[in-house]
Amino acid sequence: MQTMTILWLIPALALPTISGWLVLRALEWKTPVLFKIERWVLGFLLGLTLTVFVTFVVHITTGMALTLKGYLIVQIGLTILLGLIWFSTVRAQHAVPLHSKNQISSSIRILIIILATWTLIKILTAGITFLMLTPPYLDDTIDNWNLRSKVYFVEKQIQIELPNELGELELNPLSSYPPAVPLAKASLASFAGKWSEGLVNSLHLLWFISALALIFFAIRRHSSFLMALIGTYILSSLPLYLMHGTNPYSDVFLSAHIFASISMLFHALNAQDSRERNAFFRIGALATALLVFTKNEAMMMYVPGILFILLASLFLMKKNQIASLKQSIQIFAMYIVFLISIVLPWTAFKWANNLTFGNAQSLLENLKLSWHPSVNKSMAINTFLEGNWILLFPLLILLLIVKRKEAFRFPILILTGFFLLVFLVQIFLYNFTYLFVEAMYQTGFARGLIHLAPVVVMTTTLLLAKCHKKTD
Amino acid sequence: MFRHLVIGLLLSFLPLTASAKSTIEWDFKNGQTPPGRWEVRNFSNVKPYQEGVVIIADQDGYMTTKTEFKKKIDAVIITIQTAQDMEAVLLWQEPSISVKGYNQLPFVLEKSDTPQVIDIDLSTLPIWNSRTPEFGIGVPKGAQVLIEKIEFVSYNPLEKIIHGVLSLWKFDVYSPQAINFLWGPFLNFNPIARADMYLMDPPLGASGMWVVYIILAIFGLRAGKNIVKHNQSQAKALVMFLSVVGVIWVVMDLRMGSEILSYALTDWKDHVLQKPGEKNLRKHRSFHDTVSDALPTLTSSGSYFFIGPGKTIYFSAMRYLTYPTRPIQSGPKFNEAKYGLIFGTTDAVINDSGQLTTSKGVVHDGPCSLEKEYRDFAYLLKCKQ
Repeated sequence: MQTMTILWLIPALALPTISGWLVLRALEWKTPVLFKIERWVLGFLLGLTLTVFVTFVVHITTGMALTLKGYLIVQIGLTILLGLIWFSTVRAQHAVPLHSKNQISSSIRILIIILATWTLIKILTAGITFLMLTPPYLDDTIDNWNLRSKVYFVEKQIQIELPNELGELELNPLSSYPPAVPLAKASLASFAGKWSEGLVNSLHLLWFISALALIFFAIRRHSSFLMALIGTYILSSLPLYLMHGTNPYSDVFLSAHIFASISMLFHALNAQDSRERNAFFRIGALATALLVFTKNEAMMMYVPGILFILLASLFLMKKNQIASLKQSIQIFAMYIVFLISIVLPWTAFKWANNLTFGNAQSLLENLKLSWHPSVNKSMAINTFLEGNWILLFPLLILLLIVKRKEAFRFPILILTGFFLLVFLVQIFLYNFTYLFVEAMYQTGFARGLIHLAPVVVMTTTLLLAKCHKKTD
Repeated sequence: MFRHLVIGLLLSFLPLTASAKSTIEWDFKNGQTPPGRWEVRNFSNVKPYQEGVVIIADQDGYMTTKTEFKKKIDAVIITIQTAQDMEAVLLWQEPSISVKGYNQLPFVLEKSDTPQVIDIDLSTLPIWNSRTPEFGIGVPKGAQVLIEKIEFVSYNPLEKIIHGVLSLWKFDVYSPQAINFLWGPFLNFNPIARADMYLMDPPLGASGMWVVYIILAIFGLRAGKNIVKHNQSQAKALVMFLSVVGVIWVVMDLRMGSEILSYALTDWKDHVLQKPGEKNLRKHRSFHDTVSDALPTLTSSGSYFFIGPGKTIYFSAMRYLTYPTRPIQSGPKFNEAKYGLIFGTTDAVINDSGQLTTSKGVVHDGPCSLEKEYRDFAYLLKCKQ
């Protein structure tokens, strides 16, 4: 019965994924830059977020009920609209160039098969058990993500008031989180016609697998098949990332969006010609805009970080005469237009409903500075002395030192710069604001690292590839 | 090179095997009170019997004796019997402090009809010092205990290495904090510490990552030596060092991945494969099993009351699981609910008038009756409105 219900994933995700594919093709325009599978994976990731965003806008502006009919109207409408745009483009196809292939010895091949089998066993066993076969267990699942999803599904509307201990409804601060994940889950339940833990939670496994696939293709674009596999293995082997990927939390979902955004910027700076570069910038602009609708941290921290790196990149492009001032302004303006189209409806909704701009509590209202030095010990323990990240951060530090020339020079500086910028901002916030408890108890701090994990892994893998090249 | 390493390791371990694990035993049976003269404070009734020494405490007190341990003591094993549940303490004097005073280590005793064996690790306790001049045990007022035996255990270096390796592969259980951090790998050096290591927050011992960093430091120094002394290129030395990192990475992936798989396998064993009525889920024990049985009754009206153990996640879970039917934990509507669930607490009873009372007083006028009793202090109640 449970298995049959999970099959509703296919029809429920079909149109959002096709919409995602179509919007990516439309953004690529006449210069396809994505690998075929990469386009489908990114299409699923961004397409679902885009679809629930449009559903949200239609719902709050027209009062359309969040029923199967409502979801279908938006999904079919969006697919038709994007399909028309796609048909109107020249469907040019050219093979996306791959980095040079290197020979893989038979012993390496056996090692790859063993590690791939082990990784698959881990992901599927943990994912199926924690997401589909056991009841909800973790705080944020019960208090936030799944509760809000169930409320939207049952009430057929976005309801910001949730039941309190008195058995009454009251405005819940958790409603300040963007409704992307709850809406996506509610749409799955609406397709199935009932609430099913296994069905709604299975989305998390797909987001986790998407993050792994996206990092594979992102590295493959710049390095060998083996290095792409190594990068994917590194990300999949991070114990805390695996825990998040196989439990109903939304941080891997956010991390995949951050990675989509920053990796497109990275690809753009690496592109061979202006048409490819602009295609990557357009996709990056969409991914950056959709970030706003994933979690509050995105709008408060990651989007400003990405915009800063974008500005620095455009300045460099202008300086190196890769782009003119006009072209640079156009690219930046495109990002801003994409962002405004997502930020405006969402912040207007927040404003109208008296919702805070932080995570459950307003960052701005609580911004009193005082130093909490003890958090640094907690952060060091989480990063270096627990098994959460294996050796990712010591390895990153080592590579940043020995490969400093490459690490702090464009284009890898896009990745290292972004990571160091937002990581240092987080360190500052944990040291000097009320958010220190989030580092003290290793809660928010660990989530911050989850968000950045794919970016860190890509940086590390690309620097590892540089080490390998030197000895060739 | 490898052969030399193996021979070297074997030779260095050979003398260690000669000194096996040793135990100093204080046997209180047959009327003995070993060793030396015991000082008894505040107990008026301490008597040696055939079965051991019996303490009847009319007030908080302790008994100690002078000690002179020749070896480092890693753990204590106490064979003890108590007539009621209580918290006792091990106490010892700090050798470097001249002023009289004791360090204390509390431990829990459950009442039993026969002597029970309590294992207490001391090796991971920063305040423990084997050179203590005085050691003893303290019990609270009202305690009636029979001490049969106290053993002091020391492990030899080879045993410590073996137990250290085993501790690195010992897994935690899936607790709610696992979404924020995973403690392991953790390192300690005896089976007593290993048995209880993840029952504590933080676990007993030190981070096992130190072992990894020591190994990396050794290979790092070797790489540096190869560059300086043997003119090996920096790039080649770096790649060799990174190969070591790669091997350690895979081993750690196996370690941590196995821990996460062990969470899943425990879930299968305790929850997925169990019949309704026998399912348990991690630290929530029978909660979900209870709720799924009580769900049709609780959701038969618009709301119900819920009493759980203090401020815990259980109320949030009830709110989610029974939505749109709402649980009520406090306030005026509590008294209006027809059905209610109590889980994991003994702080609620139905008095003779049928009222539901807690430590806060009467919470539902009732009359209430028990519909069904579950495991883990869980009850489904029906009350007249």
